[in-house]
Amino acid sequence: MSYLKLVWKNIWLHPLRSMFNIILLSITIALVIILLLINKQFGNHLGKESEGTDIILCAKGSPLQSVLCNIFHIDAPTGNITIEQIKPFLNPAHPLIKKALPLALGDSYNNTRIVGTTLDYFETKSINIREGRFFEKDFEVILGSEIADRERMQIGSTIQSNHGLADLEGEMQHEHQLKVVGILKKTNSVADKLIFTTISTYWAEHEKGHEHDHEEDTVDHVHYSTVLRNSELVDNDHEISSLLIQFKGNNVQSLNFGRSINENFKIMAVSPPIEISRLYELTNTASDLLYWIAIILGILSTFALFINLIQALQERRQELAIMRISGAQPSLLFFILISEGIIICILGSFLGLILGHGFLYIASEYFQLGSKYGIRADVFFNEEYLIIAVTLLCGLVASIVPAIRAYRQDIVENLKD
Amino acid sequence: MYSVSSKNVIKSFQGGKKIKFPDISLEKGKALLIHGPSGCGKTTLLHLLAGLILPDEGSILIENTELQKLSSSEIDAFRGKNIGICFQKPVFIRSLNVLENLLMTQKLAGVPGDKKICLEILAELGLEKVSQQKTNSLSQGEQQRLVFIRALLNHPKLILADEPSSSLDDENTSRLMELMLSHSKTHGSSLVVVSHDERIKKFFDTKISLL
Repeated sequence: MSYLKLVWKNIWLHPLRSMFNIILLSITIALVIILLLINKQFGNHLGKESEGTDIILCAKGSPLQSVLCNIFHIDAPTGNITIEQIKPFLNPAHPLIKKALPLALGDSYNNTRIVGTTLDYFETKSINIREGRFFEKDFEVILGSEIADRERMQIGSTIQSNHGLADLEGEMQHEHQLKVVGILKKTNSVADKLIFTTISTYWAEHEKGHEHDHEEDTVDHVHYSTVLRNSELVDNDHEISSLLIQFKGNNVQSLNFGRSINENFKIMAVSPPIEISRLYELTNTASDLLYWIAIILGILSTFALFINLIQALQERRQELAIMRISGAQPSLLFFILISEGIIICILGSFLGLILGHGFLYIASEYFQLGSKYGIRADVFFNEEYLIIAVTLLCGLVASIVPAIRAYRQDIVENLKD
Repeated sequence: MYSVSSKNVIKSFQGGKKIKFPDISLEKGKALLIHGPSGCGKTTLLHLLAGLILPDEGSILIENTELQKLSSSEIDAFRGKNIGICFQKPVFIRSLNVLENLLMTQKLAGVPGDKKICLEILAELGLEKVSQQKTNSLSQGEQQRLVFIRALLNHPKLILADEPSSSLDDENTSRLMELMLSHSKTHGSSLVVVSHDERIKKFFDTKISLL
């Protein structure tokens, strides 16, 4: 009959009361853990997706929309820009620019976005092929790993793209069959959820499409049997959606680059880090509010535990006096009361961890938080140890007063009814 | 050789009330009844003998140890080892069952927990069937017997009992008193019972009256 067994049995003498304490604690901890996991991973994700993009060049419009569209692929493009407008930046010999990745956006397949780009895109973002090969000519596509798995598509499958970002029942379907030639390795980024093809595929699809609308459009379209490089793109009088630019270094000229574009050109230059920090500020206000709710819940749980232990002490004072008479030192009673508080907190922490990670797991499966926002439930941050330590500290705070009272109790006084 | 001896013990209370207790001398292994009406200081005397409170004047010797001369933690240790107490109201550790209460009593007194001894003594006093039950499911008579078992368990030199029969009917009172007297004798413990219950007078040869 160990003292810890006695503590355990005391806790479950009033199961409802103890369960209430444990559940209240665990909800608080789960909330804090969910906030922690989301905030940390979302922050990392935002940074990771925009890595290597210092400036986005696109049609004038909302800068935030541009970042959401060109980096995270969750909004519509701000419009199109002509190759003519960005010609100097496609020059591989540009003194400031290390990489320029042109993007053509706006088509989709089964709600999955199709991105027209160059092979530089994969090199810059270190994305490799899992099966098959990269595209080599027009009307070839490669799939992000998640799309390949979800749509159960293989090398050799064909798809027909839609104009626009939503699936519109074939009404706006493009004519050409696109052939799957490769599937990308999983990257845990937005690339897993995209379909990639060449820029010139986009042009081919859209020039065809335009023939219906604009009969005066007489551009003869060429089907390319190679993937155009930046230096080859400049020879075409076509449009793209945006150009992602990485500078050679962060010198003053590159810092002024964006401002000078915005002042002097008909296109817009957007700095992803600035827009992302703005976005982050917005979400931070919401998470700050939730943190405050968690703090209030934490204080409430501590107080509820304190009330529970004080009540237990009151109900058990004769019992404790009998224990003293049987030979228990005051310090033993102190230990028993403190242990009751701490063990309830340990149980609450444990349940809170399971609840927090479990809830996030279900949510991330359901809302695909993993590939959309980089949020996973099966990671453990060191801050979680801190959360548990703070919880145990709350347990100590809640049980110290009842424990001191038990320590100081007068035997004869407590034997009375 | 006395198990309990007291001389000129006076205890004063708040409000100036003072009680002078008659001298006691109880030989080892014998039983003593201290009786008197309610409010005459019986329970106070029992608390004095148990070292739970100390007298203002006079001396109390338990097993040749003068309690006033010990520190409070020494008194706690001495009491745990040498004195078993049955209080009027049966109080147990509610979260534990009958057997666990006895095992905890052993542990608290620093005696290694021995299930066999506990079960034997429960059987001796007819409570073996309820050993796995919660204490609050026992009848009044069973609870009083369990209080006595708990006091007897660690073979104390002295057992003090405060109104053990107050909530029992005649039959249960007789049964408990016979058990207490015979078992304290076989376990070698002296027994002091304080009570106002006239029904138990006949069980004792040695009696002291408080007025």
